Amino acid sequence: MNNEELFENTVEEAAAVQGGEAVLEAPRKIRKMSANSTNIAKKIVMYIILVLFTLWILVPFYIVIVTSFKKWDEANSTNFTWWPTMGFSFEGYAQVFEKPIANAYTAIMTGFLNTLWIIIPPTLLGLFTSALAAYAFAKLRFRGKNVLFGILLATMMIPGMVTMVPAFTIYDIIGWRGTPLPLMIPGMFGAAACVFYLRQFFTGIPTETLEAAKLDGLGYVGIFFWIMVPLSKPALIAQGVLGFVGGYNDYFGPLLYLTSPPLQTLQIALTTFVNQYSANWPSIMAGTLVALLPTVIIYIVAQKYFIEGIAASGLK
Amino acid sequence: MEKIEDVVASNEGVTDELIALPEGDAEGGRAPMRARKRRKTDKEELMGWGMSCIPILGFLIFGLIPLVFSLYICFNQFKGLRMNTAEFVGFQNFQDVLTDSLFWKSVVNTLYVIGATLIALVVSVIISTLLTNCNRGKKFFQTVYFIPYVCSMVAVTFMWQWIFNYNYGVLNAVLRNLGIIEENIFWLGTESLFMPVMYILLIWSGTGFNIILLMAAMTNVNRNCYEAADIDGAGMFVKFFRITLPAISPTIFYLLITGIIGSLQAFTQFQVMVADGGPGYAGLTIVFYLYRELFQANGGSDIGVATAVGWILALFIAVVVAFNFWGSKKWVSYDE
Repeated sequence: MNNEELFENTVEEAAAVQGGEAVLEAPRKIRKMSANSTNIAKKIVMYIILVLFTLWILVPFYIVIVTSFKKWDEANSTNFTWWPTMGFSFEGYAQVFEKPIANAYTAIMTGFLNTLWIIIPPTLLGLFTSALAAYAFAKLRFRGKNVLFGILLATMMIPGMVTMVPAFTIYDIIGWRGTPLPLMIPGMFGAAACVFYLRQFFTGIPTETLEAAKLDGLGYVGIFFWIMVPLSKPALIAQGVLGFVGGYNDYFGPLLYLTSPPLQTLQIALTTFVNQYSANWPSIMAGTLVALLPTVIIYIVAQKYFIEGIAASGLK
Repeated sequence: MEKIEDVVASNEGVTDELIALPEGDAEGGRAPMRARKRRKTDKEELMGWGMSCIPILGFLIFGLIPLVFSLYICFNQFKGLRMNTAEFVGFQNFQDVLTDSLFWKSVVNTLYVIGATLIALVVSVIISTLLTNCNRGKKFFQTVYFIPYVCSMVAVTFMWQWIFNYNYGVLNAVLRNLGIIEENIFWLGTESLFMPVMYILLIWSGTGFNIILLMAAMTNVNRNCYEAADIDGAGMFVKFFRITLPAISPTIFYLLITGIIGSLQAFTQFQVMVADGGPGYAGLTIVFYLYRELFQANGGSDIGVATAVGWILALFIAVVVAFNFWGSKKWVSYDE
């Protein structure tokens, strides 16, 4: 009823606007004609700036790519060339991927595999526990809910830099330093920011749907798995992807806890690799590119989720 | 068609009835149902607690314990990481930090980082404004501009290290070919040039996130305002400063605050670029200073001093957050 009224109002308004436009059309056209040339000039300037900014973002990548395919002599010459004029070389990539000894991975490959098994389990499990909590905060009624939610929000205020050193000391005492556990276990309990975001999303799911499911005999856990999760796939994917990319690119955490080569994550392994091949720029650039590429590919494939997830974080 | 409409109509009727019922009557009608629901509510309570307490439990273990522990550490002195060497020293750790000229150097460097973030924000606002008015290629530009945000900071740092390389870097080669310089510039090894180089890196990687949020905010600005302004003959700049800027001011302020908080904790780019702190410690940020206290300074860990640095940094962040509450009331227009 209300909606219909609203719709009618909108139609009327639109009609009014159109009528108004028709009246204004004549003087506007005249103004448009004189403004046309300046408009085109504006458009050109705008596109020039946008293209220049595109180059500013992309040219550094191009320099990385071109260097990674150069021969050592050409990369290490004082005259930079914008194309591998001495021919393409895959020497750099060989150093990134080729096993130095049988059954041993290179630093970069080890780092990549370590990153996967160290980052993916806490990301998925943390997403799961965050979603459970978000579901409870959004849809269940229980005593102390608001207090608990307040506590959760307050945890976001505590700067990580204060707890970092004591946490490091504690992990050292209990023998977790040098193991991936400090990077894995805390994340598995979920993250306040993620709970906050998912709760907002879950609140938007109509309670009637859940009531109907309850009548059909679904329990709270059943409702979570069969209704909340399928209905909020985009939000979950967005948070999962952002969480994975954040973990993949994390440098400080692994730098504190995982510096021994067999357990290094990719970011640390890349620095090790660069130190190992210092001044061998084709290899360094090949390693850099290989480290960069996975998240860029994930971003391009899952762009929609990325942008939704990030835009939602800022529009509180 | 008709059927659906019927259903909708009847549904609406039901809702209307429910709303029309006086409060007391509704309660009375539901009372017996309540009693039946009692046991279910207990279960709901249990599930609610069980599900919601996991992240809070995680915080208690991995957040609160270290937080309390940090109060103990920052007032004591230790030899390395051995707890049994604790010796109460009061505010000595804080005094050590605040009288260390190197710490103040790191504070100044960190303020420079904030400057780079501000420039990145201004650039982002300009680019976003242009991009919102652009029809063709908008999607492509947006995709490209966001790429730096997902890139590993370590890899990005090596990328710029190569560009600014003294002997073989592209920048020196290009400047030489253009005749702007005659001899190569030692970008990363000259104290006065180090921060400008880092500005390039920080601005390059700092715009992507801003642009996404600003674009989202700008697309939400009411189109009618612009049309009205057009009719009034308002120019490009008037429209920007009178319509766009006030409308997106909450987003700008959010980006400003998160940007400053992020800059205060800058570390990775600097530590990867110059592991030793750079020429004349030009690349030493506050967190980098903390990291050195934890790992390198005096040949061992000084967790007391490192924790004190953490608290001082937290104080800086608290000031920014307080400014946030004060400033958002003063400058940001939240009407709509």
